[in-house]
This record gives sequence, structure tokens and C-alpha cells, in this order.
Amino acid sequence: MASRIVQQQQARGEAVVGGGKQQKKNGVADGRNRKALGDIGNLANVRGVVDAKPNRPITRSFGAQLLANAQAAAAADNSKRQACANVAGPPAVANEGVAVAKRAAPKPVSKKVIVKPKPSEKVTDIDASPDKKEVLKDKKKEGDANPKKKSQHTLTSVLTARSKAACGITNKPKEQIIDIDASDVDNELAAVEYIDDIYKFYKLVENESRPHDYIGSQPEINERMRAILVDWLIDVHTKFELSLETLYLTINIIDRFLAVKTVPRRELQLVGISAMLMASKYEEIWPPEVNDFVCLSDRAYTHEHILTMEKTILNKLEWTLTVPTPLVFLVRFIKASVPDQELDNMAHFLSELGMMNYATLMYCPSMVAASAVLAARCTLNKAPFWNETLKLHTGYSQEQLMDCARLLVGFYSTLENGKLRVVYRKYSDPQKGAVAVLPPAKFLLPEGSASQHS
Amino acid sequence: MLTLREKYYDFDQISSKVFKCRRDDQFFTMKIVSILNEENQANNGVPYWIIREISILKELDHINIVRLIDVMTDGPDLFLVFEYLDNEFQADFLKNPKMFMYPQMKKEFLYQILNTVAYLHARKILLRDLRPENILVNVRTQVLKIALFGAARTFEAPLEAYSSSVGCLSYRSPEVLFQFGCEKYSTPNDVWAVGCIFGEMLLHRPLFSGPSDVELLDEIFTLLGTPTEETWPGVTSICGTCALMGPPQQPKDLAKEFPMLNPDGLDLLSKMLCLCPNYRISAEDAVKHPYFKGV
Repeated sequence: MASRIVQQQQARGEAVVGGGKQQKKNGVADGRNRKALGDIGNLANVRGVVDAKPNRPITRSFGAQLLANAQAAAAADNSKRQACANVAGPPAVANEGVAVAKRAAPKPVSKKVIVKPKPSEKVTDIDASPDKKEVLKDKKKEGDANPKKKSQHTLTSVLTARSKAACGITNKPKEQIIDIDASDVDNELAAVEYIDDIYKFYKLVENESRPHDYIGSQPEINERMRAILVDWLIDVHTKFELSLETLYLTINIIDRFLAVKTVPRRELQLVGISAMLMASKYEEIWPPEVNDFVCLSDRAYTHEHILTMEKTILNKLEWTLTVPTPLVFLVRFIKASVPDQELDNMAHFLSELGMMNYATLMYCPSMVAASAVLAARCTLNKAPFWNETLKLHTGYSQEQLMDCARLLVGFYSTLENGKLRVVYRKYSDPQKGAVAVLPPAKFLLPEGSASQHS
Repeated sequence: MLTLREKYYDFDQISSKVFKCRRDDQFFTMKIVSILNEENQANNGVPYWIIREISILKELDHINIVRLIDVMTDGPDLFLVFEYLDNEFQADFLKNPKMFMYPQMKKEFLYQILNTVAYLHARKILLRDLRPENILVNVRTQVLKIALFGAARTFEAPLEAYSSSVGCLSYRSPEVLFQFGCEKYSTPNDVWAVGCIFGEMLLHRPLFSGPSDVELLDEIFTLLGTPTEETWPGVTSICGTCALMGPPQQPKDLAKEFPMLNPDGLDLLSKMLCLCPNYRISAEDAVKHPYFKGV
């Protein structure tokens, strides 16, 4: 550990390396106010580092603490900007025990980091820009003037290297982002030209059609009743062999309607039936007929009851049925996960479990979908659990999804012993890969330990 | 809540179920939809196409899409109130050569149609029944509006199977004509329809007008040539029977068929009427085509 001489008359916020002469030698020019860690690539004008004027000399531990505080503040700012309920995972802990937010502060203009080669190696030129995909160029090594000469380590280079290591800056190449649509370029059914626009648009509008927390304003209905209704509707949906879009839209219609209209307990099933009728008309080629639903309800409701409720729901929702449900995002995020059939089934299973449980309404559809994919990857032990491709397409980091993923796995762990077993039966079927019988990811359960972060 | 008669007045019948009406010195078009069937029974409630049309129109905000102003219910009837437009594209423009004095006007109308289709596709909506009868024009501003979204639907990517018995026969794409019942088709289907409308704007008559699927395909192949595995990979597996293909035909020279078009226009038309849906230009790319330079 190189000791640092701290001058008594040191200007606030100024770090001095060594004595006067040595300072010059090690590259800190005269008259240049080099604020603590201010020159390090990942900390351009981070609030709390540049602006801070501490009343004490900046020792190494105090400098690290300032850096940690600044990064935490920057991360807090970032998370505030998220449109959906973003719940951060456990913070990473720095050497000094100071909580450091995972997301680094914004980087300045991209710099080229040239890795010095050994005589026999090729030079790898890494574009360290955070915005661009990594560009790797192999250059043939040109003759080194003195290949046997030992590399000299100046104090500045040692300190810079240590600072970079402390801040998590390494020369490790960034993870490649996979083009998940490359194989579909010649497939007109994939609508590749529009896919990015479509999902940008859906991300933009997903909160407009989200039901707010309504259980408190429903005197006769509780979360358990809603779960029983959804469980029954999933069974009906399977019997009618309807599309998944119809199921997700049905639940969306029910929740939005219950959020704007008080419904007596005896009419809850009627709301469910009418919602499924409407969703079927919207999504299916051959929707079931009203009489089918009359029979399904064991004639508890008449033809007229269903048609009247249909009109009531349509008017209350102002005929808005073109809405992004979790499924819209799920199919895209599963694709970004480069899945096998097992992962596909597991993600759908967890998403449907989420749909059954009222607690997931606090999260926006894209977050539920992304969390289902994360929870599926964790459950099936697909390492890494989260990667740059998934982060790009979902717009979420692993930390932001952990709470929702834990919630989904929590539902999964209690499912086998519960009374509402339709989803369990559906996904215990070998046709669905029997994913429901697999053990849940232990570390995502409430008492489990924190997950590995990628 | 105001009743229909309190909100709107001065009803003027345009057709059996369509009225012109007023509110606060503004004109509107009102479409009446009955949810009763021929036997006066509300068998299945609100028709699926009405649910789709209203729901889709409520989400759209584009200068070239007719605006849905209001939806009102009264007993078994639904009243859809739209912005009022005075001219039908087909009756007043396509069938009247005098209306098309300037090639620039054709270009601008085509651009507006393509721009709208690109907007819809970027919002996961397939039109499926794009034809001149569903296009209205504001003569004063020369702004064109697409109406009637009854056949439209949102799509999933990759696409599911959707009904292929949609759209006016003359504007149906070869991939839809080749398929029976419920098959998969996508955004290129709408681009084909725009290509047909473009041809109709130039010729003042429908580009293809066969009375049946087979005859229509024959007309298409007479102009564009019979597809082969080279020009349309996989065509032999989707066409079902070779009888649909007819005898092999060579494509005609579009420059001779459309002498009024410059090379850029011919290039765009040929790309929109490309037989293979995979190779057909997208609406998004068509809008950026050099043909529209200066629009």
C-alpha cells in the first residue's frame, strides 16, 4: 500500500499524490485542479464528487465513501425515472462497507482502451463506449522496440489501476448482444421491419391500460375470490381451446372493469364470462357463442344477463380492448432469452401464475413478463440468469426484476399444496414439459439467499 | 348523460345505415349498427367486427385515419359518430379521369396511403380489407382518410392463423388467394392492396378483377408471370394444387403497361406487386422510396 502524504494547506476537494516535485513527475500538471477521482473515466461530473467540498482531507477510505455516495445518488435518480414499479435488488457492498448501487454513473465520451500486448499476442482494440456494441478488431502486432524490457509501473499508473478495479472498470470485453431477429429476416410472418417500433409503442402505452389497486374499493370481493375466478377461467379457456391472447385479454378486461365499477359477489362470475366472450370476439377466428357460456355457468346466468353485462363492460371501458397484456411482452422476451421448449413452458407457467394472483397488478405488464423469464431461467438454472440481450430487449436489469420474480416463485412454491390447481395441472402435463413438477429456485424464495448477479 | 337526439341534430340520410348530422356547427357521419340478427334476436351480442373496429379506432391518432368521435348505445343499436368527409375516393377520383389532372396528386395520395399503412403496421394492426371504397377524401385539403376498420385486427409477431376470407377479392394478395380457410399471412398482404390501388389510380379501372380466386390468380400471373421456386421460394408447397398455378406465363413489361410512370414509379409498383410476400417491399420502406422525392 503506497502511503499518501496529505499537505495541511491542501485545497478542499483536491487530492495530492506525493510531495511537490513528485507530483509533477507523476503527471498532475501545475494549476490543474484535479478533484478526487475526477479524472477517472467513469466519473465525469458525478454529483457529490465534483461538487462536494468536504471539510476534511480526502483519505483513500473517505474518497471511496464519496464515490459510493455519488454512485448511489446517481442510481437513485435513475430508478426514479422508471415508469413502472422498479424494485432494486440487494445493493452490492464496497470494500469499506458502503452500499454501492450496481449501475455506474454516466460515462463520458467513449475512449479507446488499448490493451498492451505481449510480444506474441495480437492487439485487441476495444471500444469502451457504453452506447455502441463492442467492436473487436484484431491488429497484427508490429515489432516491439525492446520486447524483453520490463514494463515500468509509475505511482500514477498503480493508483489508476487500483481506482479502476475499485470502480469495477476492467478491460474485460463486454458481453455480445445477440440479434434475436436475424433468423427471421426472410420470414414475412415475423414482421421484423416493425418489431422494434411495435414494442417501443407498447412500452410507451402499457401504463395507460393498467388497472389500479381496486380490491379496497370492492366491498364484496377479495383477492381469493378473484383467484378462484381466474383459476376457473383458465380451465374454461383450456376446454374451449382458445388462444393465449384471449386468456390474457380476459383477465385484463376483468381487472380494469373491477377497478371502475363496484360488483356484487354474485355477479363476479358473470363479469368473467362476459369478459371472456368479448376477448374471444376480439382475438379468435371462431369465438364461442353466448349459449356456450350459459351452459358453462350451469345456467346461473341467462343469455340476456351476459349480453347486458357485455354492453356494460364495453361502455365502462370505453371500448378500449387494444391493450398490451403481459403476453405481448412475454413472447418477445422469451425470444430474447434464446429459449428451449422447457424455458418457454416455464416462463408461460410462471406468467399465468402471476395472472392468478392479485399482487402482481402492482407491476406493469412488461415487468411481469420479464420477471417470469428471469424466474424461469433461475428455476431451470440457465446461467447467466440475465444477460445484455435480455437487458436490451426488456429494458430491465436483474436487480429491478428480483422482487417480482420472487413473488412469482413464491406463488409457485405454494401451488402444490393449494386448492387452486388448474394452472398446476395444465403445466404438469407432459405436453407442457411437466414444468410445474420441477422444484422452484430455492434462492428466490423469501427465506432463500440472494441470487447471483450478472 | 345526453341522449343521441340531444347531442346531434339535422340528420340527413346518406345511405340506409349512414347519416350526416350536426353538432355545434360541425358536421359528422353517423353509422348505425344493429346487434340484432335477421330474426330480431341478439344472438351473440355486439358483433366481433364492431368490437374490433371501435377498439382499434380508439387507439389511433393519424391525419389519414378517419376519427371516431363518439360511440353511443340505444337499445339494440349502436351509433358510431365519425368526422365528416365529403368525397369517396373511388366514386369521385378513381372513376373520374378529370379529377386526376396532376401526376403529383396521385403521388401524394399514394404516399398518404402508404404512410398510414406503415403507421398501422407499427402499431400491430393489419388492415386486411384495404380498397378504394374504404378511402375517403377531403377535397378542400386533399387529405385522404382510411375508414372502415371492420376487417382490421391486431396481430402477434410471429403471426397466428387468421381468417383468409377477408378483403375484397380484387385486392387480395396471391398468398391469401392460394390459401383456404384459416392461414397465416402478414403485413405484405396490405402492401399488395396498396399496389393494386396504385395501379387503379393510373389506369382508372381495377388492376385485377377476376370473379373468382382461380380467375383472379390467372389475371395476376398474366401480368406478373407465374411464380417459380426461384421467384417465390416454397410456392409449390403452399399453392396446394398445381391447377391454381395454370400454365407457366412470362411477366409482362410494366413499362409498356404503365407508360405514364417514370422509372422510379415502375420500380415501386413492381416491388409492391412482388408475388413473393417475403420479397415484397414493406410500407415503411415504400414511404422512403425515391419515387416520393419532393412529396
